[in-house]
Amino acid sequence: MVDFERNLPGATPVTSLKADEVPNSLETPSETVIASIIDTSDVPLDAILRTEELWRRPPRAPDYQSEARAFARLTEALSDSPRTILQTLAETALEILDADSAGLSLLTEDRTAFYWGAIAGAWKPHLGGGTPRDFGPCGDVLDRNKPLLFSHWEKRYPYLAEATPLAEEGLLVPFYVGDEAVGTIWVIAHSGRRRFDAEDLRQLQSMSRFASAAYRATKLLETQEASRAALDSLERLRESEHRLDQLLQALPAAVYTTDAEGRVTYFNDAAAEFAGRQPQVGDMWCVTWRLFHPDGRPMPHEECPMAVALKENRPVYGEEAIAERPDGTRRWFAPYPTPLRNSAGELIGAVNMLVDITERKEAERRQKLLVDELNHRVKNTLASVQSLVVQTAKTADSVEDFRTSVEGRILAMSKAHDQLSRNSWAEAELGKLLEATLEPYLSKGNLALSGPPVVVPPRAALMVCMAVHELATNAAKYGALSTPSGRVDLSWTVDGQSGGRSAQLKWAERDGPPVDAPQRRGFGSRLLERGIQAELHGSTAINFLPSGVECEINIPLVDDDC
Amino acid sequence: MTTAEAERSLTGLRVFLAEDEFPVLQLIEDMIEELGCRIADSVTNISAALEAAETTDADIAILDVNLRGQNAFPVAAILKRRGIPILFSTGYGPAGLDAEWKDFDVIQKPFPLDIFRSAIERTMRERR
Repeated sequence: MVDFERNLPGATPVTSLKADEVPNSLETPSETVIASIIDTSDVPLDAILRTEELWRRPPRAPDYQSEARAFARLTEALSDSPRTILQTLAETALEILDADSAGLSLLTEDRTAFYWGAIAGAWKPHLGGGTPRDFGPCGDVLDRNKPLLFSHWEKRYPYLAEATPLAEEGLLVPFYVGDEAVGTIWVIAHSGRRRFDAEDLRQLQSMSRFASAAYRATKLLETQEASRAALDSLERLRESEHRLDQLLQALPAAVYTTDAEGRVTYFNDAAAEFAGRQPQVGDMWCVTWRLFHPDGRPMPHEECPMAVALKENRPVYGEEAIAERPDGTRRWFAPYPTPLRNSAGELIGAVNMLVDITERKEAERRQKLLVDELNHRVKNTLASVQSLVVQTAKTADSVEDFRTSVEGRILAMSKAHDQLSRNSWAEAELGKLLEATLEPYLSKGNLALSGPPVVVPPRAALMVCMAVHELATNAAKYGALSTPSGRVDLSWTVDGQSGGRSAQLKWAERDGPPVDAPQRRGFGSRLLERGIQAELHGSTAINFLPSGVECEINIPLVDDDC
Repeated sequence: MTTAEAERSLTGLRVFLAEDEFPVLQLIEDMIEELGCRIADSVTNISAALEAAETTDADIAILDVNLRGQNAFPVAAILKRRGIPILFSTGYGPAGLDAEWKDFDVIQKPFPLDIFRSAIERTMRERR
């Protein structure tokens, strides 16, 4: 059979036989399949035409009654089931003309072929097959623009030898839409049982006019259905695009798409906001202004992760980059470019999501600074502890003395740290600082503190704690705190305006044992004499008066950088 | 080199010291004296350090990288220009040095006397 679906339109690949291979016997149809159409034949058209015979044959008696009934049924079918009207028409022709096969051939849109749109009778299995426009019986009918009666058309058109059973006779009538011929209606006799005559021609011509109407109805229906389907799918597409747009707009991440060449085709508001600019459809590779690698090197857009994803047709994950906006601000981001492929697997573009990781990067940087700073402080504090251990060892009278001194000094440092940690290492309240440091002596009742509320910066807090601790331990060993009768007054005042303010501390011992100036300079005296000056730009005056030790400490209250 | 020779080799060495924490300053000063060296200048903040670096008559400088929150590299630049070898002391370790100073010697606080001595010897030998 001639398979229209597979081989048409386009006349070339219709299954066919060469003219010289036409089998002579009806019983031996050739299985040979030839791929190309032979445009010329050794058998002239007139050799297979019998049209003139129609009028020479004695006509059948017309049966107007059954003809009228048939047309009534057809008209009904046209309004009730237009979709199948062509097939109904073929079946009616088969019945009314008492043919072996009947059908309709329709010219394809590109006018290169006819396809068998409706067939009834013996040829019904060939439904959907067809013939080339310029090399077949239908074409001949259109070329001559009149009905034709054929006999054994396979003699001229060898490919029709495959359309079995073979046609003893075939009567074809053209039908029109307006002035344009669009197809033929035909009947076939596969044996000598039937011979078509003028009456058959008249009936087929009546039917051809109906075929024209049925054809138009069918086309109209197809067009309507096609446009409805197109409208529906357009509407569905619009809806799905709208939904997609809403979805992408709702995402907090910057999202954009490009075509396969990298031209931006879509971006959401978050993308414009992230880029700090209004991207343009058609921008290449990315919505951003400028890009940099994490190490600060400029990153050309054509080398960005999105470009890599498109050029290498693979998703690119795990990258980080920096985007600079036109206003100069920079944002860290992690891109997630993913190629988009059509149902055939071909690259058609890519979608990219830019996740802003600036805050995470900032937090990482701050954390590293904090860890570095903590390390710095711990190491310096350990060095300070080392210092006081080494210096205490130089002047200690005994292991017991060493232990007590070192412990006391480390605890004094620790108390200053306590007070400072309470205020995030920004400052400490002087009164509380002194109370904490001198707590063991205060509880004995022979030490009094007095002064206004004042806060001191971290370095001053630490130095004052250690200095006062040294004064107190000295007094407890040799001075006013070594006897129950001894007294110590520690008072302070604040002088000056903001910016040039300073605190004056005065340590005054009385009623203790007589005092001698110390013979050697130990940790305490070095700290008091030089430490306050060196580290705080303050000053210390210490007097070993016979009535008791007096010490004045002046500390500038400026912010330090500790 | 025996310990005695090393000590002898450092005897009289004049040291420029910048250290902002007084107890640590005292500790390093004591160590310098124990090694038979002497203090050429001893400073505790960046402005004093910048000033002294221009005039100091030192054979070696021991610089705390962080002087009250300000880095001591401008001081190091002056000393380098004057050809004075530099030993950085820091709580940060080598990671605390800017790229320009990466090749310079660093001693990490806290350090004991013998490590300090060998660091000074190394710095004097390499004269960086």
